Amino acid sequence: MSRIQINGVTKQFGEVTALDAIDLDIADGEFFCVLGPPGAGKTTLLRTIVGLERPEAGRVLIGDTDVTDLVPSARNVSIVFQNLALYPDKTVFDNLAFPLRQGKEKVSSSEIDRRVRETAEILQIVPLLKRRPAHLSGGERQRVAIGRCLVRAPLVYLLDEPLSALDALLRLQMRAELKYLQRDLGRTLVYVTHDQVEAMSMADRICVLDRGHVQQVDTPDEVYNRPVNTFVATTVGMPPMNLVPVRVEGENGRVQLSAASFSLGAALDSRIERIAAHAGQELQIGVRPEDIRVGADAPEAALRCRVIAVEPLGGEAIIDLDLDGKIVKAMTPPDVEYRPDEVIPVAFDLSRIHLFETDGPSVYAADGTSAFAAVP
Amino acid sequence: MRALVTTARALLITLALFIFLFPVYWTVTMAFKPATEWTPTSGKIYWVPDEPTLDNFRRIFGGTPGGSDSFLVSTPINATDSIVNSLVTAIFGSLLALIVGTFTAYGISRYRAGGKMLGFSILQLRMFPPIAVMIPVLFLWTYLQLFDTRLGLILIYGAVTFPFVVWLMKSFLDEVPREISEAAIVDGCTQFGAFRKSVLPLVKGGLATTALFVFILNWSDFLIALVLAGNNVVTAPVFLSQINSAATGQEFGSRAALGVILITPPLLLSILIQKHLVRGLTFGAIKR
Amino acid sequence: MAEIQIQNVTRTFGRFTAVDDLDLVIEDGTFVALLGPSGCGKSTTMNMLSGLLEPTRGDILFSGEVVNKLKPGDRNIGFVFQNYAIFTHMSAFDNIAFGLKVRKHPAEKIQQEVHEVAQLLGIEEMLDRRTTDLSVNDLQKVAIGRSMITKPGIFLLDEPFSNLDAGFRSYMRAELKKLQRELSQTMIYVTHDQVEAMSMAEKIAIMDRGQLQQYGSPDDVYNRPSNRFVAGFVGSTTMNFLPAMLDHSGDDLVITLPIADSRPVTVHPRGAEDGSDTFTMGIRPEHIELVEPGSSAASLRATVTLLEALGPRNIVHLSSDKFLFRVAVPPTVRPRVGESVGLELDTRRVHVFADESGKALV
Repeated sequence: MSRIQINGVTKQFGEVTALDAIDLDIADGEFFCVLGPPGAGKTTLLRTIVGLERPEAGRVLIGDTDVTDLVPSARNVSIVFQNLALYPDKTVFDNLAFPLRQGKEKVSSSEIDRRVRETAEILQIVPLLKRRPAHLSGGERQRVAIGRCLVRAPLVYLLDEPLSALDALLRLQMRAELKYLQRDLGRTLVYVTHDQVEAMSMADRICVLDRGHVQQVDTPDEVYNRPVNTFVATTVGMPPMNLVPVRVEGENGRVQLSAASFSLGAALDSRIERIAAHAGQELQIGVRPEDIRVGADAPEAALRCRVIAVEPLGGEAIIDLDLDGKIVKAMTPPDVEYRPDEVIPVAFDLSRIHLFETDGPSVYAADGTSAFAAVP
Repeated sequence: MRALVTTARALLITLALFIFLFPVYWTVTMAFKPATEWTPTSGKIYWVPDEPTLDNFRRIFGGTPGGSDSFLVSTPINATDSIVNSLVTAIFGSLLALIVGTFTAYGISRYRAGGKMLGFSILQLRMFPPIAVMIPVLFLWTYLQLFDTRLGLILIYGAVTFPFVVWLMKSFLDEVPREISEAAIVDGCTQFGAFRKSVLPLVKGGLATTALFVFILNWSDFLIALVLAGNNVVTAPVFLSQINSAATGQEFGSRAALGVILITPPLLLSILIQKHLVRGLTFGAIKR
Repeated sequence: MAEIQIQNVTRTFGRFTAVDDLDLVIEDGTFVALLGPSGCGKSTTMNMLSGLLEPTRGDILFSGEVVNKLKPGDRNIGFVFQNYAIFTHMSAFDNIAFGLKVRKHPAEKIQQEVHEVAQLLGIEEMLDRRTTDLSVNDLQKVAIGRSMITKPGIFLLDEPFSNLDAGFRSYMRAELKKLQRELSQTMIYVTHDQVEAMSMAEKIAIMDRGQLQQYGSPDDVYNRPSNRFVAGFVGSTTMNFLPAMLDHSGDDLVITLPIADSRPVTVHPRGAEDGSDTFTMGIRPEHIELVEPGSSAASLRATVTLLEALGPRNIVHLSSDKFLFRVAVPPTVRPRVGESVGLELDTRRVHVFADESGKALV
């Protein structure tokens, strides 16, 4: 009913290709997040689904209907813009009622009243109905914008970074509220953001977008633990995954990864074969900050690094380490006492490392088993 | 040193004020002077009328000046028609400019109509003094039989003030985020419906300001009306320039009286829109 | 010496009080963050430090001298703003050199110093480029370079990284911290993002509605918040707040929650009571553990309503008797929606706030 299919959609603005032959299949009732840096094409994708942009190539299907040639109001979708775009001269009630008053078929005013009030109740904004947007707080405006989206009971909801203008605190609250709301409504929701925490927290599946290309579409768990390339690996997760360059050597049935200050070795088996194909080349080890143990948690570690900085974040601490001239960040429990310039033992959790080619694609993910071991 | 700068500044401002306000003062006092005081007699300049009178006002609306023993003998004149002409041409000319100009401005603001050059080209139009092309327009108008007609003046007034409307309305329309009209489109409006229901209400103030500004321009026009109209359509400023009599030549007092009537609407309207005028004129200057 | 003393400074705009009796000492060479929500008075305080505004009452002293009336240009301060105020018609080199050129330093010295600064910031190869050719990230570095070049004693930064993307922001945070340590300058950083404040600052001054709420190290404000506002504002996952009833048991306080079948929690107070009648208990999501519903360690039971999988940890949302909780758990723990679990509270990490004043008792 509200499944969205995007088939080979390309959108260009003059010389710039905003979307490059995108293929997506968004399931009915899914909370689908599109994640990417500014300029990735996320807003363009949303606008193409809504119908405010026409693609140069490709088709858009909602439900089983090809909507590519339909005007926005005929597609039965609603959108919440990044800057909300509430009608400033109209009351909250009129803002919510506006979509109902535009249709070709006349909706009776009692029906309009009923539907507006129903929506207002769901979002808990009934006491605000007589106010103008200028007299609402950020969070209240947010809800009115979502209300305007809901009141038409569309097949699909599209939200363009709706929380980015809110205070950090409010954003946390709204994340949970949005998730509950979508669950209750049961419709497909496409949510665009550049904030990976939002995507991880709310999405059933995340689509990571970079410069008009889809990098990976998967559940948060997959995208986090089995990223297909360095872009996805460093986009999801804060602080970003550390990337450490190493040389690959393969001989005598073993594969060795060497950096200036450490080496890792593994016996050649089916999983390691792919790595051996890169013998003589450089690869990058990907390791997340929370998978690095330091100090007392890594007593037998042969690798020792100098502490550059310590960031106490309350619930945890981030330690910046100097590894062969590169900064590597490690996440530790909050109550640690390392000083800058101290040299401490550092160990990677080898059951959680990744290997990537220098220009991105993943070659190996440890996925819970340690095939590698440190070579002294 | 500071005192010197402040005094110099004060002097300059006083001088500027004087230059602008003196003619107004002179006109207002002249409007109430009897014929005998219009020109200096025996070296005395009448800074303020010794014997203020409303004769001049009566004169321009058909009355006989002074009475039968007045040294002024001339045919009665009535400025009413000319005032009506001014009103009609100014109002409709302004309306024309407003309607065409606002839609143009919307196209430029929302859809970047005409690319980078159109908006600027339209503005450049206005830098060009209209009077420079009035003779060619005269030929064209005569050919089109628009010479000496109200319609002819209305069209020219519309054309000449159209760039102002585009310039002012574009800056007001730029203030309205495009997502608001997009939201209306997604909610089911047509392009025009979105403009009418979601954007227009938000620029009401700007529209009013622009309308008044443009009206003032058209109302005060003298040169265009002089060139493009003859005996049938005489607007008030032209009428004013023609108030003469055989006996006294230019009738300063009568002219001043009409002048006072003519400057009152612009003055009042300017005060009304003053706040918004400054805002509108300086808006485009600041890049957000 | 560039110690800053803010003595009982108040700033009003008509009837609106933007900063209310602020009293603060910033020691020489420290990195201090001014943290608070929008409208809390942090930017106003910044403007008074820079000299763009004068305090309505109170004094500001730099190195012991009152500077209230001193013009910004005479205060020897470096600014970095959110919108980096770059001169777009000049090259990167000229932008950075600007301060020195204005002060008429000799050309050779300028060359040398600009290159030094550029090296420190990692933008040496871009010095000749026009600013319109540089990325947002590099422009920010140019802005910092420009304010550094005159070697000011004090640096004021007003949310300088809010325009940058998240990855670069965390990189710049580390760079800035490194820079501050190397130059040993006093740095005052205004932000509404508590993660930034926590990660960079040696001390954080938290403000709300013009008033100072707490001034302490990141550890202090996180683990020993002095009032409810600070407790709720600091922390990537908001603290859980619940109404509580207090009883005394010797020196200790016994907290009873208005939840059916919950067990009271005993804690040791650290603040004095101030006569409030009602209280709120606060506990951070990471200080609660999920246990078997019937276990003796559980203080109460709750039902799972939502699971957020954030990557390095999961946040479990639960409801118990109309009260909502959030609990942080390792990424492998994934309770299902509707499951019934027990909550074990780490009693050493429980906070209690008096409702009237907001002050912390525990």
